[in-house]
Amino acid sequence: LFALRAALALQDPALGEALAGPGVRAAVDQTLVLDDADLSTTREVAFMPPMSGG
Amino acid sequence: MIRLTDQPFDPGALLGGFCAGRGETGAVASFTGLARGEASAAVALELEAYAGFTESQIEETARAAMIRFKLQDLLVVHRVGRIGTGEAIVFVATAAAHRRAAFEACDHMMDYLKSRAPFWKKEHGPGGARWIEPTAQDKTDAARWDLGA
Repeated sequence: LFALRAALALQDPALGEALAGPGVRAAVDQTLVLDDADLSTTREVAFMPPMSGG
Repeated sequence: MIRLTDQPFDPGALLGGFCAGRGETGAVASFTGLARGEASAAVALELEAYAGFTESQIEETARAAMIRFKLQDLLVVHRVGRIGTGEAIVFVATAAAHRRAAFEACDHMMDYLKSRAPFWKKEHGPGGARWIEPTAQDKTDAARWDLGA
């Protein structure tokens, strides 16, 4: 996941900055993960800004 | 147990249905959240979810709440999409043998839904749209239920 973040930031620095923002979480194949997650068998990665419902 | 819908719902009908046919339940607590107008600063709310993930995350918290509060049943209905002022956004109902568990579980689920469930809320007003983040109070409220807190 580190590498994916770095690649995205290289392509689009504004996006890279947004993804590094406070409260941004990541999910891999719909499971919440930490930044060092392994993506070798991954089908879907989601970056999520701070959540607010109800 | 968990339902997301982009259509308006009737909280009274949901509560009626939830209470029906319960021989062993002593207490049902419910909460309905409405889209507040903020003195006409907000015209509408828009809620985004992450299909599949949002439901499974709420389900996980709901299952833990069933055990923690010894609930007999739990229902969460949450709107997604565009929601007009005065419409119901969220409905939570809990069923237990006694009232304290029903009240507390309902309170806990709402605190979770407000600041930790994967929803993203945008407010549409006369001056345009803005994303809403949980308030410090919302976060403090949710932290009350953290085990060991």
